[in-house]
Parts: sequence; structure tokens; C-alpha cells
Amino acid sequence: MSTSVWQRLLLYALLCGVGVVLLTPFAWLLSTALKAESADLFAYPPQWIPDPIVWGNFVKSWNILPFLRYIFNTFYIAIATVLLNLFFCSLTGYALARMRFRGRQAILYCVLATTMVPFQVLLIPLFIVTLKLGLVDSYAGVILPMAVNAFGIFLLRQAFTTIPTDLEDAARIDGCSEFTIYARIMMPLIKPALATQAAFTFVAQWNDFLWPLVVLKSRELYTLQLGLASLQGVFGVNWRYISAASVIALVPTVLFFLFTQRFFTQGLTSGAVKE
Amino acid sequence: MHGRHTPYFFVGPGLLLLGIFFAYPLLDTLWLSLHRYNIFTPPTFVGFDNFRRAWGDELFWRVLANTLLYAAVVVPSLVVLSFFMALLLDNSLRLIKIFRTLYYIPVVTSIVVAGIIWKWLYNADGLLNALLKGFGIIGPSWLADTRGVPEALLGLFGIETQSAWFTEPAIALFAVALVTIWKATPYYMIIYLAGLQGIPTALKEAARVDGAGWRQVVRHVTIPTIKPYTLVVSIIATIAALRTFGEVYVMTGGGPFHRTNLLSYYIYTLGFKYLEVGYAAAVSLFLLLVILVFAVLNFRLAGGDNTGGGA
Amino acid sequence: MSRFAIPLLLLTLLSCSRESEQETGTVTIEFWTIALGDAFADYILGMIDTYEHAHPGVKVKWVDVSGGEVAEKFLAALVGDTPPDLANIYDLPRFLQYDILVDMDEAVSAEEKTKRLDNFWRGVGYYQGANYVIPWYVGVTMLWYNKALFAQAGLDPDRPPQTIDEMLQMGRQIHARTGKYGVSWRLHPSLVAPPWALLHLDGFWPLFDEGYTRTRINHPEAKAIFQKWVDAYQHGAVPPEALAAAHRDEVNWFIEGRAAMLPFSGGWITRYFDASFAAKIATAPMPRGKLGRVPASNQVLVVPKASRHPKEAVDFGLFVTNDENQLEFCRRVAILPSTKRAAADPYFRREAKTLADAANQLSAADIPHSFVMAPPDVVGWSRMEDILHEEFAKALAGQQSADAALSRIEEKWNHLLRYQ
Repeated sequence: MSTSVWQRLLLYALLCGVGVVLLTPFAWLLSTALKAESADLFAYPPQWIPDPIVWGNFVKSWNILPFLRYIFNTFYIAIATVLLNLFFCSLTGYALARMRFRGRQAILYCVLATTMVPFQVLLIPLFIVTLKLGLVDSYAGVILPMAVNAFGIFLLRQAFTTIPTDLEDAARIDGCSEFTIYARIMMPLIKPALATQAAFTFVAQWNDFLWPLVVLKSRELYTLQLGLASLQGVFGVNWRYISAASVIALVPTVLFFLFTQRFFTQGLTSGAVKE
Repeated sequence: MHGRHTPYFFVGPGLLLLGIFFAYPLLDTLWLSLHRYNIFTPPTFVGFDNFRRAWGDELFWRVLANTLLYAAVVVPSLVVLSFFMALLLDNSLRLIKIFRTLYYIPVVTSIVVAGIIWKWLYNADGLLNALLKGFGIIGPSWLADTRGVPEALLGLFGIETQSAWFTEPAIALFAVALVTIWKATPYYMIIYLAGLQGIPTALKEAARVDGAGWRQVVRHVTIPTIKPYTLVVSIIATIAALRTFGEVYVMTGGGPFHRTNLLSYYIYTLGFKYLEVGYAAAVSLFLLLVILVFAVLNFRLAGGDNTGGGA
Repeated sequence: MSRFAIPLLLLTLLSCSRESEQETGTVTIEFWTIALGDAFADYILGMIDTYEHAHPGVKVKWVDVSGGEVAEKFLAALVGDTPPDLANIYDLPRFLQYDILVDMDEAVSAEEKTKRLDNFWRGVGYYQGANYVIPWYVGVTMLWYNKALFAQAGLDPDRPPQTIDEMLQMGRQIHARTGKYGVSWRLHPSLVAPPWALLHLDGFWPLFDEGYTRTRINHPEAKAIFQKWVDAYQHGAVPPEALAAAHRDEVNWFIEGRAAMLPFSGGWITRYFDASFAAKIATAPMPRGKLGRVPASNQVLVVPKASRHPKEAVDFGLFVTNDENQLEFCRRVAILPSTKRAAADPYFRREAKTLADAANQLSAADIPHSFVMAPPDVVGWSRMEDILHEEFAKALAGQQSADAALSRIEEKWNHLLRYQ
């Protein structure tokens, strides 16, 4: 697809325009994080580019919280959740999409139904289950309830349905087992969807607050969001530190997303080759 | 083909986890809905009393209406906007990765932080109204205004109206919905983007060769091909919209006088503040029913079952 | 994918079988605080250390519950039968009506009781004749005001309001002259000035007859008080967002410079201030209503009846709230103690070097004139309070008269009183 210089310029202009609308609130956060103690945060008209720019807020908020501990915990929890989630959801989604068996449709509807009750309602019964399994105050207590989710099953099922059957048939003639077909042939074909699901799960787990709050007790296990909340605690700290800490908390997720885009591009090429 | 039991080995592990962590708590909710229970004293069986009570609960109907209006604003906006955003980002410009990442930031911003920033934008003397002032419009206090959106728009042209038809949705509810749209559009964009990138380029090229313009390609190639993704987006967006909690929790607390109160928040209030756990369970089952109806409708409409649009 | 996933699953499953507390003769009590954060970790852990040394058989596990979601965690723990042994909780009315907390009048010795200030012992945890809490730190409400906005509105920055009426009057003037708002207040069951407390502060009390059979809220006096606030709201004495606001918004409005006056307890609020902002701010005693007293808030410790070690928990609770430990806490952050000897300490008459110091002293001086903001000890108060807020909000927004609001509240409350 060749695009002329003008088309490209127009696209960039559009991209920037939408970007400004989306990121205005975030720009305020960033600029607050960079403002000096003497600057008026809420001046009107707002001062978008702080003068002077102060990096010290990042240092201070870094020192207030044991960020490294929290970041490690959050990463551990989020990555373990993503891996387990992709495995279980794709396995289930694959069967629902590509196999014929009794109760298939019923299972699909049941799976969807489990997503429909607001989490706040399930909180207490879920806590009791977790307690009975001995998972309270452990990483597993945060990870396992998120290790499979109906959205994921549904999303991956949809992705599996778009793959033509001839590939599968060929593999079957070659004598591949069902698991090999799933793992070696089908999984690579839905990489974009897997990347999407990975990004969703990662973000959901990274941002989750209420559930880790209820399950975790030891400070050594706390996640970043729990740590951030304590900044706004009873004897809170001022806005600059909260903003700086929020920006610090954003960075890893943004980087993760930048990284997972590789899968999207791979999906693009593999999709093009197969026709 | 595969062995008779193979599918169950595939489905088993996932379903087991879902069963433990979601289905069981859900059944618990069902059981609780038939009881009067305040956590501290043993539950007493009351049959369908909780459901009857919801039927007569004025506030429940108010909140249900809010929730439906809210979804009616949010879901179509999300489906359309995220689709166009994905189209915009589905190209191979050199900096496109950066843009995709930047666009994603609202999704990963914690709702607490987002809420604080938006409140600041929405205040009576906030940034939004300062902008409007430039156009000679005196904006309201967005999160506290209970006039209907149509009513307020007519008001701009000096038309006073008394009709109840113009009082919904409240400006405040609309303002809350806008935050959801801001935060969730890039989320659904990702789903569409995955879908768009799965479309073989050859298909589009072929259409181009046939002389189709950009618009025709979108209409006749893109939109039909990514239909499964539209279904995913609309279902997930509907469910998410009907379960919205965070925005209300951090921005309005359901006020002014329940005009921005949504079902999830109401259920939360019932369960955790009034400790009427049984009643909260009954109301959540109502919510579940509403969501189920919408999910099935979605399947029918977007899923392309050939039965046509009827319910 | 599966190469990694399966070992990982096993790993997580293994990691969950952490050994539970072994019976070795020591007692472990779990102590919950609300969002003190890492900044106070050394203070709390230091206290625990001292206590564990003095009581070799007891171990204390500290859990700092982040955010405003204490109730969720507390309830979940109670339902799961893993309650904390000693917990700092707030919004007590929803717990007091169920008989789930240890009665401190019974559990605490007379000697320990006399060490504590009576208005806090008979304060937020006093429910139908008994006290269910150990009072911890205290905040006495004072007025924070923005001298710059006062000057801009043509008010004397050195003459803050003395009465609530004057405060609202000045608020209207500030809005008329500057376009900013007067009093940073919101309709919320906050510790400082919830709507029911507006009635109390201006001398209308109690809200119910004896025995809680009917409410007396539909009364000319209550109407006059409501009307006063309705007028003030409609003239910009209060920000319009007061009707739909969430956690801590009133503090933010004040810091943003949108509102000129903030009734607030606790000098520690200066932690939010910038140097440039702090220079514009002054404190004054809280303006008085007809009652002539100042609202005070009190953080409290409770021991759930379900606790396995209630005796040890109460003892540790008394230790945390003793004179020395409270005084030490006050030295670290501008709060006030709830024990007699600590409250009389010269520390609270020290030379004020900072705004927080000044505020701290000012509020300490007002302790004798304070009353604890304890809502009516009626069953179902949480729901009643929401009804009050809803109807009052409609009156503020001009959708119904103060009269109509009061009769609707009366009708709904009486219905609830009959129903319960």
C-alpha cells in the first residue's frame, strides 16, 4: 500500500488531533508531577509546561514508598496471571470454537453469564472460597481468581473461529494430536488476539485494587496500587508526589504495551501469507 | 477426528477455575437472594420477599433507568469511536507504534487519578467551562447539574420546556458517561486493531484494484470481515457499561440525589453500607437478567443470526 | 506457552500452602490501622516492638489497610471468621447496631477509663447505653481560610467569621465579589459537618423522640436552619459540586483556591499545602452555631467479639492509646490525644513555628468546647442519613422547598422507624 506524502501528513495531523483530546488529562498529571513546590498547581490559565521543571518530586515519592518491592510484586502477579490466563482461556476457547461436543453452546452461555454480576457482589463469597483454599495473604490468592476469565475465553474463541479449516485438516492427515494442532498450529495464528488478551489481563491485574486489598495483609506482598492508595491515605501527601507516583506506576504498563505490539505486527505478516 | 472425551480435557481446567472462583460465588448470590441476611446474624429464609421489595423500591427503578440510559449513551459511542480509532491506527506509518501506545494511556490510568483530573475539568469554574466561555456559553457545574441534556440544549436557544421527555439523561449522568467513553475507547480499539490486522491485505488490495475508494473498502470489506470483533466489542462494552462502578464511586457518589447512581453502586451501597446482603443479592440478579437480555440481543443483532432483529 | 504455564501453575499452587500459625503458646493478635502508610511504619512497629518485649507471650501482626475500603475488608474478614483482633474503623453506625463489638465499659478497668477524656469515651462508640470503642487520636474542627481571597472580596483578612451565620454571609460576599466560593463543604456523612450536624451545631437536637418512635425533624427550628443553608447555597456561599462529590473533594476545592473557607479538623492538612499556598492561609477557631460548641472527630479502636484473643487485644489497644504513645503520635503529625494527661501536656502550648503548629494549638485549646460527632444511635441510621441527604440536596438545588424536604424526610423516617 503506497501512500503519498500528503496522505501521510494528513494522517499524522489526525493522529495528533485525537491524541491531544485523549491525553489532555494525562498531560496535567505529568505537568503536576514536574512542578516546583512554589508553583500554583491550579492556576488559570493552566501552566502546561512547568517553569522550572523539577524532577525532585519523582525522587521524593520514590523514597516515600518501597516502589521496587511493590513493582516486583505487581509484575510477578501480573505476569503469572497473564501466562495462566492465556493458557486456560485459549485451551477452553479452542475447544469451544473448533470442536463439536455435547453442551458446547450451553457452556458458552454459562461462561458469559459468569461475567455479568458486578464484582462488588461476588466479593464476599469469593473471599470465603479463597479463604477455604488457604490462599488469603498469598500471591496465589490474587492470581488464581484471575487465571481464567470469560472475556478471554470468548475473545479467543472468536479468534479461533476466523481460522480456515484446511490447515487443521492438513495437520490431522499428518497424524498430529489434537493438542499439537492447538499448540503448534493454531496458537501462532491467533497471536494478535493473544496479545490483546495479554494486554487486557495485564492491565486489569496491574490496576486492580479492591481484590488485592481484601486478600493481601502482609506489606511485603502489597501491589503498586495498594501502595499508591496509601499515599492518599489518612495523612496524605501533596499532589505533586501523588502525581509523580502515578506516573511512575504508569511507566511499566506503557512499556509492556509497547513491547507486546511486536505480536500485532507478526500477526499482520502471518495473516497475509496464509491466504 | 478427535476422541470423544478430548474436548472435555480442553474445556476442563478453565471451567474448573471458573467454577470455583465465579460460578460458586454466583450460586451463593442466588441462595442469598432468598434470604434476609446482614452478615452478623444467621440468614433467615424469606422466599421471594427481596424481589418483591425491589419491585416496590422507587430508588431501584430510578437507578435501573439511569443504568439503561447510561449504557444507551456509552455503548454505541464506544463501538463507533473505537472502530474509527482502530482504523486510524491500522497503518504502517513509522511512528504508529508510539501513537498506539500513547492512545492507550487512558486505559491504564487508575480510575482514582482519572476521577480527580476530570472533576477538575468539570467544575463550574473549571477548564471546560473556561473553554466554552470563549464561545460565549456559560457552562454548568457538569457533575452537579440535574437538568436533562435535551432540556439544556433547548435552553441554549432560549426555549423553556416542561416536558418530561426532555429531562433525561441528566447532564451529570452524561458527564460521567463521557469519562467512561474517554477511558474505554482505546481499550476496545485494541480489539478492533487485532481484528483489522487479521484481515488479509490481499482482500483490500483486490477491492482497490476493482476501483473501490477508501470508503467503499471500509464499507464492503472491512466492516463485514471484522463482524466477529464487533460482536466481542459490543457485548463486552454492554456488560462493562451495565456494571460501571468506579466512575460513580470516585466522582459523584451517586449524587445529586441519585441522578448518577448506577446499579453496581446501588448494590454496593445496599451490601456494604446498609448490610442488606440478601436484598443486594436480589438486585444483582435483576442486573444479571438485564445484562443477559442485552447479551442475547447483541448476539442476534451483531452475530448475524438470520432470524432478523426481533427479541 | 504451555511450557511456561504449567510449571508456573504448580509453583503458584505450591506457594499457597504457606504454613499457618503454629500453636507454640504465643498469642498473635492482628492489628488493623487505616492507611497510615509507610510514613508511620517506624512509629507503629516501634510501639509493637516495645509491647512485645514487655509481653513475651504476645505477638502483634500489623495490617495497614489502604484506601477508604476498610469496611469491605472488615466485613469480609468477619464473614470468613478471620477477624482482626484490634481494628481502627470508621463509619461506626452500621456496625454498632449489631452486637458484634466488645463492650469496653465491661472490658476496661475503671482506672484505665479515668485516664481517658470522658467526651470521647462517651463519643462515637457510645450506643444505647454502652461504649464499644477505645478512643484513639482526635481532631477538633477549626476554620482554615484563604486570606488572599478574603482581601479580594473586600473582607478583612484578620477578621475571620465568629458564627456560622457570619461564615455563610461572608461566603456569599466572596462569591459575589470574586466568583469563587465561600465555604468548602459537601453533602456527605463526613466527620466535620454532615447535614444532621448542621442541625445540631445550630441547637436543634435531638432528631427523635425518646424511644425512637417518631422523628421531630419537621420542626420550625430545623426548617430555619435548612433554609439558611439553601439560601447560602443558591448564592454561591458553597460550591455547586457540594451535591455530587466524593472522597476528600472539599479539601481539594480549598487547595485549588476555589473556596475561601474550609472547616476541617487536624493541623496535618498542611501536608497538602505548597509553600506559596500556605503563605495565604490562616486558621481560626471554628465559627460557632447556636449550640456554642465545636465539632470534634475521633478515630477509634474496636475489638470484634469474634476475636480469638479479646483480652490481649483490649490490653494492646489500651497500650496504643496510652498517654506516652498518643503524645508521640501527636509529635509526628498534627493531631490531638484522647487521654487527659497527654492533652494537658505543654507540647500543645509550644511556640508555634509552623502553620500546622498554630492550628494544633488552636484546636487543642478548643478541646473543652468540643463535642464528638456521634450520629443518633438509632437502628438503620445509615439509610436514614442517605434519605436526609437526598431530600436536602433537592432543596439545595431548588427542586423543592426546605419545608417539603423536611416533611418528606419525616414521612420516610417514620416509616422506617415503624418498619424496623
